[in-house]
Amino acid sequence: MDVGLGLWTMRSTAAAPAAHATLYADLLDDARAAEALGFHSLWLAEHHFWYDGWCPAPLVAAAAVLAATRRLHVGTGIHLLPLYDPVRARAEVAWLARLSGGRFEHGVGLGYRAAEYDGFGLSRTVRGRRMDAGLDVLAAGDGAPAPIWVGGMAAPALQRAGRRGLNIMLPSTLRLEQAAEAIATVREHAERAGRTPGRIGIMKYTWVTDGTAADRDRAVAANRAFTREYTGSWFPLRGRPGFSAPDLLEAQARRTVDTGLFGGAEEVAEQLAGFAALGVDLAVLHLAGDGRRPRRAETMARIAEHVVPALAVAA
Amino acid sequence: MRLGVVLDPAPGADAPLHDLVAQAQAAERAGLDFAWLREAEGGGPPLLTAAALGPATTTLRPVACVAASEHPLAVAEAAAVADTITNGRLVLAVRGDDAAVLGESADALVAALAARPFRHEGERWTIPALRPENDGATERIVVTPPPVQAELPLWLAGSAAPAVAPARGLPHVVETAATSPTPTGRVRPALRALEPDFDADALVAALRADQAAWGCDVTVLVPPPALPLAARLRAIERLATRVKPRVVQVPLPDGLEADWAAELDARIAALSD
Repeated sequence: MDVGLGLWTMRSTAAAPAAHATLYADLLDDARAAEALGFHSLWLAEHHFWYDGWCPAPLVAAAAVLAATRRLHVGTGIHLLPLYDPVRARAEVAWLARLSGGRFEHGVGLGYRAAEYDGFGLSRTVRGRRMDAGLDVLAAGDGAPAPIWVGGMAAPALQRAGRRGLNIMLPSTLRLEQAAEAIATVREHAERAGRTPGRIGIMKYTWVTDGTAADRDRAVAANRAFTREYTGSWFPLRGRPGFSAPDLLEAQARRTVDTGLFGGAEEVAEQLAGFAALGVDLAVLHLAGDGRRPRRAETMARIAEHVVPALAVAA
Repeated sequence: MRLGVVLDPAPGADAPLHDLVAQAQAAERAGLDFAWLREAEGGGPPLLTAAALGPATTTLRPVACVAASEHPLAVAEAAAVADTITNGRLVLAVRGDDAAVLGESADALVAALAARPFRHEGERWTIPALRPENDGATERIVVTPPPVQAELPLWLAGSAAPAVAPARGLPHVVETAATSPTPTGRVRPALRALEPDFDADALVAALRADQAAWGCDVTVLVPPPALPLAARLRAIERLATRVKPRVVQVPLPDGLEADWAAELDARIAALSD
């Protein structure tokens, strides 16, 4: 199983304010460090019109990361394909693939925030249709210019990936048995369409602790703060921003911890080995926290030195 | 006058980034000011190229030339990120031959590149759409992060630029050798073809004429697309040593240019070996 790292968003949050130019310079430093540590890939995310400057153009950021590295793959987790003119998107992805000698991994997803569709003059209701039309354009001619990863866990996403023989990128919030079901669904739809199923990827919120309860508590608290801001502001719960539904918000924060990888290196490696056994080809360890966790370089080094070797043993 | 050069990868290059970085670094080392990036001639989407050149350069200013038909919100966001990656070095150029399209693109981009909430309603684009089914849509949106530069340079190019730029107070890029253009922007850029083995004296005379006639203060030279990398690097060196000093200050004292000639010609001859 390949191990990648995510998700770089270049946010200047209230809890961890920073100049955006610094955050993008840090992205390049982190990418060089990830490459030196032997990670498979680094993944970027996309959102729009938010106070913290969440990266709205991950393909532009990817161009810089690919230019600053030589072996590292760079992916989008995810690129909101339905927002864009698919012909332009194809030209951009083709250029990233060509500039990098094939190191770009094109993760695509629908997103969920209606305001983002509205900004681009679109209705949120057309996002599934536009995704299919976009994938058709990407697949036309000689085929997609870069490997496509369909992001999501809803039935249409799983069916779409399977039917088209594309890779799937499952989100962090799936437990082992739910991931198994999702993978089975993808395979079933691939088989029905007479396609070879693509690769299986999964994101996982990952906090590698020193093994003590106190360190785990710190990680859980930091992850909870991160999830509350993210889910509270962004995710519609009962159709409204999460802060209007405190019970559901708290439940989501707990679910994020329950399904994430929290613990010492061996514990994390064991959990990852469980996913590898399901046929997961790529785990993207999501180092969320936005300034509430130790420096990224230390986190990455700890994973490379302790989790990856333990994973090799466990798997 | 400032000078720049158009960067193109060699036709069908296996490693276009290598070619582009080599040209950008040579231009930066030689003290040229701008690297113009275009999608024609195998160059790929220019805002991606601008970002890709970011880590390899520190002072050179990329000019990303995009088509006016592209969605201005997508262009503004990509430009904001590219400007952030290059720490405030980006120039955005928009090319259009249809005055209505170029005008609307320019209006939307000016609004979107400011760090304030905006709304754009035009023939082609309505940003944001304010569709009733889009929960949480607001009347105005703001591009975040904003560009590093408080006023990101926006230059208009293409045949519609002379009609569109003046009313908006934007620079337009003079692209023909047509007599007496009348640019109105505070910055007055031009694109001018560069012959592979150009005569430096003739080029200096032409640039000085543009400077005198209409205040040209940026010239971006356009080498032939198929020009091999080595010849491009030599042209950059010649522009930096044999042309730029003579168009920054006009006139120079009698005898100075002749005094430079032997040493600088020898340096360029050494590049050919």
